[in-house]
Amino acid sequence: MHRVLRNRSLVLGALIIFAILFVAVFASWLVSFPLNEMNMAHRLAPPDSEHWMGTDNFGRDLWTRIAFGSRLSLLIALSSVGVSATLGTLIGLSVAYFGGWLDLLFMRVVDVFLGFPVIILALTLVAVLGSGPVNVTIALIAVFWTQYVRVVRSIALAERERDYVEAARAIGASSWRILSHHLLPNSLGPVIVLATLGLGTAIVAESALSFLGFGVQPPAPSWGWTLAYGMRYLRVDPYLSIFPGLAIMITVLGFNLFGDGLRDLLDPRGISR
Amino acid sequence: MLSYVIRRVLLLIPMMLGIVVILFGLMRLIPGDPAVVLLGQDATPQAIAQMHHALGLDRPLIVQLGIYIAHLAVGDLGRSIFQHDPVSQIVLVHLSATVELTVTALFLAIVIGLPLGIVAAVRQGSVIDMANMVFAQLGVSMPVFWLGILLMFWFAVLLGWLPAFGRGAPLLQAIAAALSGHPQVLVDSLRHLAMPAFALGLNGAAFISRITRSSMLDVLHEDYIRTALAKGLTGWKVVYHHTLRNAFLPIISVIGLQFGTLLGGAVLTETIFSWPGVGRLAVGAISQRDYPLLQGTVLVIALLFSLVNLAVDLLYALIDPRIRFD
Amino acid sequence: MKRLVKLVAVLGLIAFIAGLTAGDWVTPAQAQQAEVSVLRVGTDVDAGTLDPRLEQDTTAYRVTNLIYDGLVQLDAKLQPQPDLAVSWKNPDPKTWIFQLRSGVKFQDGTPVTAEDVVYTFQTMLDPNFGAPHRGLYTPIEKVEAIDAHTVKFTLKQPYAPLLSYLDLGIVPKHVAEKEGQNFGSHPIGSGPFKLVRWDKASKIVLEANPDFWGGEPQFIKKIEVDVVPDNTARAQALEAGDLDLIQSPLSPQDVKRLAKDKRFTTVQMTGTGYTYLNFNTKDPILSDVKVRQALAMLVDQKTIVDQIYQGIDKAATSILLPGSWAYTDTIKQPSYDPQRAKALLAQEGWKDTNGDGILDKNGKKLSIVLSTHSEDPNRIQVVEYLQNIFKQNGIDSTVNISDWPSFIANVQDGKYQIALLGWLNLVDPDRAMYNQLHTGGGFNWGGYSNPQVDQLLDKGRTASSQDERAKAYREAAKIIAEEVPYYILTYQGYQVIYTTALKGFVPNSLGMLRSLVHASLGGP
Repeated sequence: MHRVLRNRSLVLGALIIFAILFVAVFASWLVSFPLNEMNMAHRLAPPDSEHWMGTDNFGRDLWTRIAFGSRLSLLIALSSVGVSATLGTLIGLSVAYFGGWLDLLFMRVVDVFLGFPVIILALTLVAVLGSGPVNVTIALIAVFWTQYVRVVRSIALAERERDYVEAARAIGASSWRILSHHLLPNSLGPVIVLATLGLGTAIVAESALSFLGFGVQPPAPSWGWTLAYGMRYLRVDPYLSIFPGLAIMITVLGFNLFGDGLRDLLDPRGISR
Repeated sequence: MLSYVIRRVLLLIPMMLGIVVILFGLMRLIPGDPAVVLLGQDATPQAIAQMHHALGLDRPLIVQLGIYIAHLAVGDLGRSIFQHDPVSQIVLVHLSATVELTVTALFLAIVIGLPLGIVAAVRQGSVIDMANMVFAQLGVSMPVFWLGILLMFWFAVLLGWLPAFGRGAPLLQAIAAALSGHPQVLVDSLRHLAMPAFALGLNGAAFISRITRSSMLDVLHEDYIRTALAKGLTGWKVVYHHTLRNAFLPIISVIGLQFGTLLGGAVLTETIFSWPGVGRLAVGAISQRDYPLLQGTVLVIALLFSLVNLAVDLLYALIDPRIRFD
Repeated sequence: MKRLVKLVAVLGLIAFIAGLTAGDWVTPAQAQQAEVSVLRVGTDVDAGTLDPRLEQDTTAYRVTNLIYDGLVQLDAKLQPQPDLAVSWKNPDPKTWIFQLRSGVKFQDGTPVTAEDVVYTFQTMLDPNFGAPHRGLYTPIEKVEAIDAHTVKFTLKQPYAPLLSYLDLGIVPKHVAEKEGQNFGSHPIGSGPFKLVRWDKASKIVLEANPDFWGGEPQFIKKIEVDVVPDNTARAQALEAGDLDLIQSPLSPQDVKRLAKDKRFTTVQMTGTGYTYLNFNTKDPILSDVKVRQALAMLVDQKTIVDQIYQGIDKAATSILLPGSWAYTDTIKQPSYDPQRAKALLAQEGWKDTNGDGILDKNGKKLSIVLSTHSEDPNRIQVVEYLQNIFKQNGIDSTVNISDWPSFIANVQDGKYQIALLGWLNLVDPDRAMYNQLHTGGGFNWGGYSNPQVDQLLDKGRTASSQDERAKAYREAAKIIAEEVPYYILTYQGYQVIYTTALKGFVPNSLGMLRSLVHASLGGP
């Protein structure tokens, strides 16, 4: 416990994440305007006592949009990273354990996905599937899953040759047992670290897609979408691009710090880097 | 070593084929096709059918794919549907712009990140170290498109120091012009390059400073360094002669990986600063459904990316004799 | 290693600082003074081709108009004026004879002859050539050369709008045939400027043509067309002195700001297009004309025009453009009135029977999808705003924004309910209505059909006097405003903003830059 508290990144990251989760969960209590209430006469207003972040291009309260936007961002990030990590870990373990043609086949598939320029692959997928939170999540999974396969596979490959696995196999443990009791626990640490850092990446990726017009559909309060609009009003109302950008940056910062701290904690020498 | 390189290069073939097949399929699943874009909204169904025929899009998909791969095998990437020029020619022109941007960004990243990381490691726990950590964390967390907007707002809109968009003369040409007595051409190129390269490079700078710091620290804690320090060698000498050389390995690998990341990140930077590179070319090709152009662009980016990775791995082996490829 | 690190660091710092501070040494204004004769024009997209027969985007239109001559040029009021043709006769409604200017040379030095005109139109009409705007010329039966300087057009039926479309650039037969597909990248015309360089996706550089029949452009020797896709970035580039002239499409808030800036001249005029809501009359809900009228009453046109378009585009009253000879201000579309809209919907059986806040009828919800494309930020805002109003008034409405190809492919297939889009370059009312709203018309995606409108549109196309045509179009426009297959939202404005140093430039609502021939870039 002492080590945990001494780890400044971990503590700071956890605090930031906690704050953002708090905003996401209690958004309805933290804001004083309905999410979609427009007021065209009061659009692009600078921050004042009523709207402390100002209003957007429809006169909606910017703080309300950003607070509810955290739900969208976190939901897409958590689900895309969660599925990618689970899928990637399962595939990585299986191909490492069974090896042979299965390994060969999957690693070629992984190569193909890694060869794609990330944003182009995601853009193309959203263009095929159409906009919307579910489709954006699917596109992000397609981009993210491969890194987990690679990491888990290399750890499992090393573990597979260790004596205790040999021993387990010798006493007749089933494949499933070896996979779940021996290989999985060893891979879990690095996967958790990778996933935590991946959450930050996912949040940036979602806003980048929305920014390019390939994200969720309005009136969903996406940070990237708000930022894309903010850019058009930079001269008139810089707050409209400053606040959503800050929201993205702080959230990503939280996950990065937490991930770094976690890595130090689980792996002080930084071998899994 | 040679056989390793050959094997790696051969592995590129299934990868490229996979990319072609996936991209080919995906592009044709997107609603709307090049005929629709080419003819605009005032196109009659007959005109669209005729255009499909002219572009060969009325043939079965598998035949179209076969023809494309057959051409690819002899190095022919086809012609762009919208620009009418050979895809290879278009991609090459844009690639030079992207490489110029990426290399400059990487250069800035190294120039900023490396000294910061070294100083932070040597003066561990100092104010400089703290400042560096803050910089590194913020730099990594800052979305490139937001940084781009902020830079543009500050340097182009408010201060008017730098051009808000576009590219000057290609850097190599500009240097040649400067040498033959036209320095303003080079100045113009650098002014155009400054903001996008910085926006793109900051992320990398943060990464490099972090890795430099931590791998320097790893080495600094090794026994032989302690011995060297105990023998009375002064701090900076130890840093240069012993530490940096041994800490270089992870730094090189991160720099190599950064190059790939920068190539990918260039899409957003190029969009914001209207930089005429491959990233914007690819996004444009998607939105126009220019099938051959997108396929060609992505293939070239993927190839470049893979070759850079290979080069990094080889460099690794050159620096660290312990590594052997088989 | 030590030296290397040092060297890299020092070099990098020098380069970076040089790059940053370079602005102090050569300001854009100084650079500009060095080359007064260069005009830098900002544009939103690169030209797809510089072959006028294949052109599709506005950049290609505007640039080919400088490189090539047409038989006619459209003036600021969109009236055809002599260009390559010095005069024309219309001996009967189906025959047009054009007398060509003599002594005109293409930029490769060969003379412009009737054969080149015939070739241009023949290829244009050839279905296999794939000209996007072939449809405008299909009423032409044949084009013949009577002698080296006389061309005869024979029509299938009388076609009143023809002259407005004859500004098509004439290409040299011998070059176009030889170059084939490459001609679009290596254009040769007879216009006042010729292409010297084209960096795809970046810039097009034109140079004054010393052999131009109207005399070599005196002051502007070079035109550089820079591609800056983002509207706001383009406006900022003008402010930073990196561009001299920008034109629509622009963001309303940028136009507002620049109009107040003393360094620039801002000209705003009615454009040649309208933005409209296309109602799919084949949709089970929208086939009811009363429902269409009710939904039109929910369009808060005033707020949209004042706030989203900042008054840059004007509130439309009918499908007839204010700049057109057919225009009248007596036609009215349904006006914003949520109360009446609700009453009308109730009258048609759409009521909230289950108390969920959403209107329904026979157990089905009143669901409406509003679609538009992602390239135009104003249209996205309009759709988002309308969705909000619809929702407040008990309509289960959603927004569907996709990129242009997906969007237009769905619309062309009739897979939409209400779509927001626009028509451009409407140099004749026929072009704004015939194919759009005639039964079975080529662009009648919503399947609108009214025999009376059909008859009026046919009359407008064939009648010989402009008065008769105007009368027919006004009657048709009145019916359209009532039955709402189209709700015309705005008349698109055309804006051009340029440095005050540019003198003698006459803006034209199509965005054509021909008048630069006589313009100069003197001091401010």
